[in-house]
Amino acid sequence: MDKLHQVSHKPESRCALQDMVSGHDRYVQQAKTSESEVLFIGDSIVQQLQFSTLWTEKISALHCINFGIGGDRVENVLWRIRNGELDFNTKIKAVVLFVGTNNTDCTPHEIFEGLIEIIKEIKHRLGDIHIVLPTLLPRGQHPNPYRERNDHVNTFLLDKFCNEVNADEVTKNVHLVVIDEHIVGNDQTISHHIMHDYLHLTNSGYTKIFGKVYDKLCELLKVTPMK
Amino acid sequence: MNKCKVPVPVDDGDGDHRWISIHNRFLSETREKDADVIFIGDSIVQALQHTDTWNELFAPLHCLNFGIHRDRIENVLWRIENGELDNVKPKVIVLHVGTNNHTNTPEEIKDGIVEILHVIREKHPDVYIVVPTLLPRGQYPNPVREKIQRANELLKSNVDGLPKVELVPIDKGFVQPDGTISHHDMHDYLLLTNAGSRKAFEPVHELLLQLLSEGEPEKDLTPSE
Repeated sequence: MDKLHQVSHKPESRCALQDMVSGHDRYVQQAKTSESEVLFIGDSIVQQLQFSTLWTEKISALHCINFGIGGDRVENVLWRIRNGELDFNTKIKAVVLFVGTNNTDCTPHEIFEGLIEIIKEIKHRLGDIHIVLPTLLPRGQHPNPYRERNDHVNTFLLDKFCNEVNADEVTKNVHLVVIDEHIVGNDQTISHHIMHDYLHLTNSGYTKIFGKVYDKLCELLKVTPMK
Repeated sequence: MNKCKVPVPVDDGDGDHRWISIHNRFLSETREKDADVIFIGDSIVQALQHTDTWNELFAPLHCLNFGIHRDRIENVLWRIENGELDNVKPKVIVLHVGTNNHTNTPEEIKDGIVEILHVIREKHPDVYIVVPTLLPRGQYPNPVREKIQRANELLKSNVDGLPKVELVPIDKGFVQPDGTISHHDMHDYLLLTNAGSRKAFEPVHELLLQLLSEGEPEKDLTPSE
């Protein structure tokens, strides 16, 4: 099925259409006057990151801006970047892309191809900037098909971006960051101390898991990480 | 038939069953924790728990938060009928649900909330029930906002005056003179920011203080260690 990477979707079907489109409009306006150097774009896990201690105490010092929208699917992010959200007046140095968990009706390969499409679009519009790509997170308290799907997507991502044999124009300057480790316990469950609803991260969950994204950004921007 | 009055669980189908996991966790909490106040409801209630407002105003009052994102009236009804208010003796229950029932009519929303009130009352004849009014949503004026407003009017005429039930208006002060809602109050024009939750829920906090001290003037409300 080509529903993902051929057609980017404005989220018409979402129940509170107005809520979501307003977020997009605001982001387009913010991009025009922004002096940020790092863009985070994705779904609710990205959106809620901005309320975490990790963001307020460390990430924000890197001059970041957050274009997360709750509920966003891969094709929604593709639509947003094709419709103004990458039109920054200053030079963006890095984009952190994190979306895919909401595509629960897609195959892992479809999600993977959709992410490739987004990466191509980012490169087309912003040139040779760094793209930071965290792996998708597990979800659900117990083992389940959604967890397997996200894990399978990660297998494709690792093969594409961490395997020199597959290096090409798409993989250049894309930095995969493995963040899905040490979340599922030995008993195969996820604790609500890490994900309060078995999908979204707690404050300490963000510190533990997205801390690695912060470290990678510091490395790329040549900034000393805060302790 | 009003679907709001028929208890229905959220079925994750082939999914990750998070809703039932969360429900089961709430059941454990009723067995493990002693709460004076239980908040039960939808996205607004769940999101509230992650704000500074919750930590500063409500955590010290020994509150439990049984909010689940996206819950509709009929889902909350199912949860209450399936144990979430059993094994507990709170002094106050705060009920806030309805915004996700925007496909129902205002009358159906009102009737669904009244149904929940009946069920709570059967389980807890003496508990105070606090019902904050439903909040507006969306950046610009829209039909859902009108529906919510109409539902609030119906709640006012049907719920105010029920014994030991207090309707608390929390919806004023969000729609600005130009008709918009600011993302400083609701970061996605639905869920409250720290500032927005302080504005909306401070009246609820004040009412809770009164209700918790009524009949127990000596009660120490300072946070325990």
